[in-house]
Amino acid sequence: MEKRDIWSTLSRIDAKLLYALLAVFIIVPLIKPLGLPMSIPAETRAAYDFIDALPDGSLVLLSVGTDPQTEAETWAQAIAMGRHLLSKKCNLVLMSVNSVGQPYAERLASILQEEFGLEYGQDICVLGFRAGEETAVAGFAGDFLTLYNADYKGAPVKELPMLKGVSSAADFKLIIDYQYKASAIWFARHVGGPHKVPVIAGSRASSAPNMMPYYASGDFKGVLPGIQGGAAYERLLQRPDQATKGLDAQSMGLILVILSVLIGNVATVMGAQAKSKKA
Amino acid sequence: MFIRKQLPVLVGFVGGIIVLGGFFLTDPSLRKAASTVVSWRTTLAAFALVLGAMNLVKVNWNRASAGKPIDRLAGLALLVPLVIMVVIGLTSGTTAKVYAYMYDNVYRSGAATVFSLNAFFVVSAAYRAFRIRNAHAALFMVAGLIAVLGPASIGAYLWGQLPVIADWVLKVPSMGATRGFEIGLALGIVSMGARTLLGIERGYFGGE
Repeated sequence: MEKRDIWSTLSRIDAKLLYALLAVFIIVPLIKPLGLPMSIPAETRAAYDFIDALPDGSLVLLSVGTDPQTEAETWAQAIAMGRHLLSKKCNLVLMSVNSVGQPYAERLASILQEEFGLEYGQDICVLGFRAGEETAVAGFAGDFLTLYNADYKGAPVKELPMLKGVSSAADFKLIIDYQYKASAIWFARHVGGPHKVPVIAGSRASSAPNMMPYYASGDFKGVLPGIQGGAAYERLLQRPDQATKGLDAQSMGLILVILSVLIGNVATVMGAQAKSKKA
Repeated sequence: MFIRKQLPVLVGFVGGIIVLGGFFLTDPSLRKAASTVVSWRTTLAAFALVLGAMNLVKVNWNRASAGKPIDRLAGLALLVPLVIMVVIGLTSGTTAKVYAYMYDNVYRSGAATVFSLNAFFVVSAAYRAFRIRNAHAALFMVAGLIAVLGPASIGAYLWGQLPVIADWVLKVPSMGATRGFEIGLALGIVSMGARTLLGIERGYFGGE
């Protein structure tokens, strides 16, 4: 049996070993956070400052587009921002334009209700899912009470105490969107522009570049890019939680990706050199 | 022939003009009409979801009843949970505990698991396929390293300037490219919208 040299071995690492290493690299920081340093993006700080400057009791819409695919990135953002908004005694209205995002809206309301002792209908309510994606957002902007005449339990929206006197999308002081497709851009287009309601985008890291032009133009008052945005928000709130752990795990996973690329390349180059020397 | 060809174009034209007018003009009655048309669209979208589900059932029923054994299994794997969720939703409502239980413990767990597998494929692909064979690949590698490491906490740990460079990449070259793309896309949408309103673009007729 031919004896392999080290470069040959390194260029043929079993994929299962890489999988096992990745699992370890991700799970360990989730169990025991490493406390790696982090930078706070300017657009996340802007979101924090904007919410911090909201008058107490402001009516805020949270569009929860989170689903299992984006949960790792946007769920922790929603929890952290929800806590911040409620510390400002804001009234929260939750909705979703994602058919599988609605249960996340319900869960977010339930978690915040329990943590802050909120009364449903008085401090927080869930309107539910509406089909149509961008059209649903346009419908919300055009005639909020026609789109939502009842909440997710079927109770008439007009009878919810927190929505008494609310007749249009313009009555909201802020909209925060947790990304489903380009939902934050839909809100900026249909509500932010025509009704002058500020919009903040909680996005996936991979979509953050698409959000930045809207932040630069002032259409978004802030952007939370992926886990980094959530972790930065938790840092600003001085309440590290899921995103802070997730950022450490993501960093360790990235280290393995980079090591994999480096090992693969070095092994290929050195292996080729060793072969040519033998020849 | 009028019903199949001219009428859909006429309906599209009138509906589109009302919605466009409601967006750009301040007349309250026009805005109200536009809002009504948009609310019809959300109702139609809800029906479209049902239609999509029915189509899914039809396709997978055919697979499950007449396909190869593996196709039958795949068809049943879709049909059985779909029927269970629909029955639970219709009988107990979507706010029922049993519905939430199924969502959390079947759909959510399954979807998150499938999506998480991407991380394993990325590591494997990074090791096997990402070879720096020329200057372009090297440039791609450097840009990738900056974009990936910069926002991550490990980036600042390795080199304090890495997040600053990553931020510059995001806010200057990347934003410029995104703006160009967005403007191009918007112009394309305007053009396509005008063609559709005028009945020139008839793709939605189903290829006739």
